[in-house]
Amino acid sequence: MKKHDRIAAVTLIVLALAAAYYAYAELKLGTLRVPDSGLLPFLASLVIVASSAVWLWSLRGPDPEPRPFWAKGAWIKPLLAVTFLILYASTLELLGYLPSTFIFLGLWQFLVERVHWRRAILVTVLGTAGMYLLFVQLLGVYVPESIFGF
Amino acid sequence: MEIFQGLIDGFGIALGANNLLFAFLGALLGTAIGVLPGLGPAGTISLLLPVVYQMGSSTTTVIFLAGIYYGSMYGGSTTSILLNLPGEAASVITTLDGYQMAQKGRAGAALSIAAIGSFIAGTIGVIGLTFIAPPLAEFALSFGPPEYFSLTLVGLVLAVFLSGSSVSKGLLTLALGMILASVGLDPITGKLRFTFASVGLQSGFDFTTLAMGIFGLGEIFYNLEQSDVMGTVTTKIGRLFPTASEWVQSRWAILRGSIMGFVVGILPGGGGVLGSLASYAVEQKLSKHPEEFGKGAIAGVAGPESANNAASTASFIPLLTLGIPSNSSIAMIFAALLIQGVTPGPFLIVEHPEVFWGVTASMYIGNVMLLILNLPLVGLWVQLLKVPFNILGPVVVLLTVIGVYSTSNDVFQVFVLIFFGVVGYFMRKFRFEPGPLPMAFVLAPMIENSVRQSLLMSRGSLGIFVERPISAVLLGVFAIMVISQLVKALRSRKRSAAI
Repeated sequence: MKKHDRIAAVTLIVLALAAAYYAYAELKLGTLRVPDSGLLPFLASLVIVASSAVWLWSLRGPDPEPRPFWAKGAWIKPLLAVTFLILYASTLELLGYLPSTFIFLGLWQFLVERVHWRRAILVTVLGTAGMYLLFVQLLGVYVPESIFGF
Repeated sequence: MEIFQGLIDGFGIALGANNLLFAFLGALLGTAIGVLPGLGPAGTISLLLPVVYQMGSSTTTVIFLAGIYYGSMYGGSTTSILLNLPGEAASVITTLDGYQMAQKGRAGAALSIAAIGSFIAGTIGVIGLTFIAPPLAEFALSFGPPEYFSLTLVGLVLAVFLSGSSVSKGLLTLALGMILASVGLDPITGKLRFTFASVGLQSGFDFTTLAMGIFGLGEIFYNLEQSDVMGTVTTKIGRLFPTASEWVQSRWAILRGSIMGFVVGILPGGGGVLGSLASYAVEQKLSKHPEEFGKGAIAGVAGPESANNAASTASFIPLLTLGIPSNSSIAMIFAALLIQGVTPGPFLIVEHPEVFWGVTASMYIGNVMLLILNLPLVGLWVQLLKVPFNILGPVVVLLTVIGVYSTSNDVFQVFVLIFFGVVGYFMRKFRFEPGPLPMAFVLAPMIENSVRQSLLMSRGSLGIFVERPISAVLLGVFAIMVISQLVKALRSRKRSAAI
């Protein structure tokens, strides 16, 4: 874990230094009498740099418990979930709420949770219908319509 | 007399049909999410923030959300006792003795003492809120920008120090929250900050989207890695009420836990988790049989469960009197009030007495509701654990998406939500406590404005922060906290070097 923590700490230091430079050069710090837009982000960036440096310092020395960042294959489900969610957001206005929700739930049940196909179909159909009835019909929430008009 | 009159008026508001219904719904939902591991009160309140836009009444909104928060403290003990699986963080310590009691066939007694202790502590907490909040708010009326800056600074840093996790990671999370809050148009100078030519970012990040992403989606993504989030209840609940001897062992633990939880709860960062840990340590120290702790001592359930309830109620005091949220769940309620056009702070009791007294009175009623919901209906709550994660997970995801989309009708916000979900996931992977992030996010504008106003008042002199007595005392507290933390770090370094 230490290796990944070190990578994360260094990444944060680099990003925070970039943010501090942006706040200093672009937003400007102003004076004590009239502070400008960059002052708070600049100070917050410095806190991130300092905290990340302390974190990095605490990670020195060999790792007593070297273990992988993800247990075997544990990254697959979160990655698939994020991918399907991006796909869902991309198709929401294109296909409409009902079809895109149906596809998203189906993908989640079949590929993320990998439940039995009968259960997957049941959850997908009932889940889509339930969400549509609750939010659109009952609560009157505006959602993008499909080409079929619902 | 003003307090009693306010309370009577508050009961008039809280006993209205609509408010009574939402207090019940809040208590019900709070108990449910307390029972369900993997979805805490902050996550649930964040999921419900879009609903707040539709609710209309700020009093009803806070009654509902407060019910969820303190209700989750009641429900959290159920899975701790029956499954050795805490429903929320404040019930972690309950697993030590609660589960052992369940293994010995005393699950019913453990559950009932947790509910009775929670009820007594919750009620003591509300009595404290009733009598402490109004004079504290009156005192805070004299605060100007320098005092507010110092108070917010102390509050945020104390929240990090008391959270129990790494201080450097906590400070990093705070600073990240501040940078995220600065994205968008600076209201004073009109400059665009960190928008990188994106029109969607010009109005800044929406708190609802950020909270739902970090707490809702982040939690779901993280739970996907665990093979079995829910457990299976095999323990028999047994006789529900404690024996006379168990009651004798518990009564002082309940009282001590209530008082300790209340005191800790007022401090920023000192919510239910710290209260329950402190109570457990004290009960173990005071017990005639400390060796029984961890093996099924009922005082080890009664004390911490009372403390976390008293703390959750007490944490409303800094919110309603100073406008300072003391933990992430309270930060969500802070945001909900802002959505309703009510600014939490010392003026709240004067300008919106119906909110303060209505919410306070509803807490008395909510505690009675929770006692009824948690004692006889415990078997029903256990059934909730049978909801599989393959249903709960995508339902939460769909709730976050429709929640965010419905507040903006803009799909860009859904992408922002996914981004924060990924941030929340990696925060959990790298063992960052996400709690300080929403606190910093909601308080950042107050910090920035109070610094600017203070410096304008003093014509650029930083001395204004130490020349005013209240601000100087607060900064003194801040300095003591930082120094003590440094000394602690140095001592532990020396100790580990000696080993």
